[in-house]
Amino acid sequence: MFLAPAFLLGLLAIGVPIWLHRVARANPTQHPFASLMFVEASETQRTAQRTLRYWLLLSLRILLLIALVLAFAGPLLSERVVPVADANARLHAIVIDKSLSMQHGERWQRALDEADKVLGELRSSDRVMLAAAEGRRVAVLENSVPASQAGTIRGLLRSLKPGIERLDYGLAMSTADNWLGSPRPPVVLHLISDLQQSAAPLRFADLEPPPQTQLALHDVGNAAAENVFIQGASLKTVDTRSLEVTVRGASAKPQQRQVILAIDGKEYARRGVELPADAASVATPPIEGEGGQPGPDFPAQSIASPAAKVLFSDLKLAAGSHRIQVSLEPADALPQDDRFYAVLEHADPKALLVATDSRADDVAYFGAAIGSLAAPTLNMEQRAPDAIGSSVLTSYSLLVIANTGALPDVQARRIKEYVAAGGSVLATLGTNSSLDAGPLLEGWRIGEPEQRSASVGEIATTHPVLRDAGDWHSVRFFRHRSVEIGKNDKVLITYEGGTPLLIERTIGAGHMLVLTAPVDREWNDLAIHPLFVHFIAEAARYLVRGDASAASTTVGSVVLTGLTAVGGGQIFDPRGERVLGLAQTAAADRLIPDQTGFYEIRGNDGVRWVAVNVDARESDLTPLPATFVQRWQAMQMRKAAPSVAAVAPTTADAKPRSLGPAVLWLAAAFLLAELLLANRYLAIRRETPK
Amino acid sequence: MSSQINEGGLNRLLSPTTLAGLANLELVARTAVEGFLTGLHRSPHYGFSQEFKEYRAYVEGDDPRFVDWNVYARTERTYIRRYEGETNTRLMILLDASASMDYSSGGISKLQYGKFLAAALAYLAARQHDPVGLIVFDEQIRQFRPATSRAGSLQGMIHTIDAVTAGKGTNLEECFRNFGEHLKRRGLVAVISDLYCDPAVLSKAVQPLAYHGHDIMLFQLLDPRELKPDWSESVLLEDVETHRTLNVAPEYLAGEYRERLGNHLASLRKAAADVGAHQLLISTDEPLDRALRRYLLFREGRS
Repeated sequence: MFLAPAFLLGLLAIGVPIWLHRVARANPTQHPFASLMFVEASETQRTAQRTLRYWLLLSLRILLLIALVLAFAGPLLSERVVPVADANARLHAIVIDKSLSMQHGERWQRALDEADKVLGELRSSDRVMLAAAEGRRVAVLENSVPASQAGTIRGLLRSLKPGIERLDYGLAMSTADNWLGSPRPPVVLHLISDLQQSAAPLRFADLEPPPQTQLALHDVGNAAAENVFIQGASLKTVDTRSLEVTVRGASAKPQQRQVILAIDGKEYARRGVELPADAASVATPPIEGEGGQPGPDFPAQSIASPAAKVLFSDLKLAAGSHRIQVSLEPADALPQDDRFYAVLEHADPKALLVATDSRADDVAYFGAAIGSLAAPTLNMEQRAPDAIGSSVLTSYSLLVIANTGALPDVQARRIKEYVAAGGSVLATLGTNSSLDAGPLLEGWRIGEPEQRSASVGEIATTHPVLRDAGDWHSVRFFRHRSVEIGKNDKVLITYEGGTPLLIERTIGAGHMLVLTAPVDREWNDLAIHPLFVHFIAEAARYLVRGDASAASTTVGSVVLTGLTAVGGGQIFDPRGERVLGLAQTAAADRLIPDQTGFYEIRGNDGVRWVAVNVDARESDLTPLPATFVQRWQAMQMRKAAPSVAAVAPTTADAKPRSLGPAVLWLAAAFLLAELLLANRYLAIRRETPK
Repeated sequence: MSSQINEGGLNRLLSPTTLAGLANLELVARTAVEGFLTGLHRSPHYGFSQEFKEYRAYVEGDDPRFVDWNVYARTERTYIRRYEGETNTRLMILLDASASMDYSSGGISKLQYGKFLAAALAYLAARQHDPVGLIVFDEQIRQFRPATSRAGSLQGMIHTIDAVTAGKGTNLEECFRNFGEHLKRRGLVAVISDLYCDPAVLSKAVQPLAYHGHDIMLFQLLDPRELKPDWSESVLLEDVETHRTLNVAPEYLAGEYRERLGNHLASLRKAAADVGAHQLLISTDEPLDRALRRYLLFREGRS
């Protein structure tokens, strides 16, 4: 088989060296001589010998041409005829779970012992590799090496330490085909883990191992493991001066703990809490299995262990940003999840209403609606577009823009930067007959007003702003305008014809909600409709993150820092060390934290704190149900069947291997030999005196 | 003995290629001969000279001019004084300037070497006040300088030798026949040639000169490649005189050719010996002083 058989026509070129050799044979070199008195013609015998020697050169040249032609034609070799060095050889891939839960008790030591045991059982023909799985990555620590080099792997194992991130088995298995490398012999994938239920993926199919891979699960967990942890802490929705802490734990007997609240590094209060015994078995709701069939016993990722809530009420906090640390005493076998960090912005947020005419109707409507909000409570200020030049926009939690068309370009750019750094804007398009999108709505095309009535079509009721949307269909629209938006913008409400009415636009770390209809009685009756105030309240709560929850994120997740290339800045980790190198300070709009605690982000607009916690799902040590593990292993057995028979591929799925590169190397060898031989022959033919 | 002087140094200095680098042929001759074997080249004939050798009793037939009358006055016996002369040999150099003599395989040509040799012999003879003459020939006699020992004749001789260029073919028989006309008085005849001829013909040609009492010395010059051709590939050889070409295999040149040449050289030696002549084979890569020493030692052995 050849990839490009047409190149075989190049074999005709073999005639060229043959012809050249025929010419060369009839051309001896001439030399003067003093006298031919003792000389006789004696060509025949010598020519015969020379021809013989030239045949060697001719053969080399012909072979070189054949090899070149074959290299271009691309010969293919079926794997059926590729010799297998050892049909029973296996690649043992040891994947060790480095997630937080492996720090519990003796799990890590058991994992190391288990890996050592696998290494001890290797056969001499086997190969072995080592990988560590944590967070969203599987790090290959040692690529495939012969079993004789198992000592290297042992050395690496001794230097390994468990991390604090979460592991998702689905991610590890679905990427296995890549990190196992190729080509590879049949693989035995040793997953050494505590087989946490919370590490299972949402889709069972994600657990499928790659072809020709046998999965060996090494459970180093302990079904009776006890762990008490803080699941979260948040401000109460209504009473934003009360902090509610959720404590969970799985234990055979009731557990008592002290919950200690520290604010800005100082202990503020402590409460006692008692967790009931975890007597109930884990509920495992059925989810979709393979082939769309419902699969039994699939574990939920939600945490189902007993919980207790502790309330710290009437926090007397000064305005500003506060670092809150909640911890449990005494600590247990997994102390990393006994602490919880959060940042609390304790100040009534301010809103700025930007409008040209302070006595216009829409200004009055917005002012009234925002002023009536209870949660969040917004302090309202009002400025004309030209007057916001000197004010610090970042001190406002929300900007309300009555008419984006009235914004000068300079101010529009400033507002855009404010949004990109994490700000929020609620805006309406103006009543003007023709509107320019301007820098703030860059990429939009805004059409002329259409003088005909319309009604609301589709509503994205899953969006937080529209979750209790009310009866938008009863709002009457007398005029409307068509708007073409950017591909990254999200339409939340449309008119019946599909024209967008409410659009969410994301710029950098901030959000905008844009109503394409002005709040004007000549355009619609939205301002006097009962849902208006509710809509403004939900929008304000959404935009200013008005859930009044203490903000925190998890290790390994992406945090938008709000730092821009223009402004620059620096980030300090919880130990106080700089996170960004000099080269990164200009472009560090994202951060992936790898430690728990408070990250300090220093930008042009001052200091901001980001609280980072471990993923609470790692704290739930409930093991995977035995039926689930069986199904997982049965799935790979059925799919892969990594028997010796699988080593020799069948004719149908035997992938042909290209011999082109090998033939090219052969051609290079022929070329070298031809050069050496031809050079030697030519040197002789010159007959220079010795 | 002067033959033992500084052999290594002279050899290094007097290689043919080194001598070829000297522009002046007289300088070449002097360099080759100066301080070299003075006295080895003795005349076999006694004559007038300033150097006394011995007294001998007068016998009938001796020339009464050589009687030492002072000795007779003291002893009343007649003695004859005998002297040893350094210069009483008439040297005639016969230089072959045929086209085959112009052959060279890389070093100097046979003709060039022959010119060096002729100049050295002339210088050697002139140094001993021997008369020296020159005949240049190829198919016929191209140039003739009668033998003379006049002061300043050496420069003229060397100039003539220097101006010799290669001519056409060779006709030794014809040339030797004509030599007789120019060689009336007996002496030493030095023939410098590659001697590509039939030994019988050569014998026949040399014979008349030998009969006239000439002491004939045949210097046969050959190129190293003529003696030992070293081609390892078939070659097309072109005769420089006839321009005939032949395709020849290296095996032939290494075997048959050398055998034929060896036979030819042996035949030449025998033919020369038959007529009382002597043949000396010289390769053109042989240092000139060594060739001269061989010649002089050969002469001494004869004397």
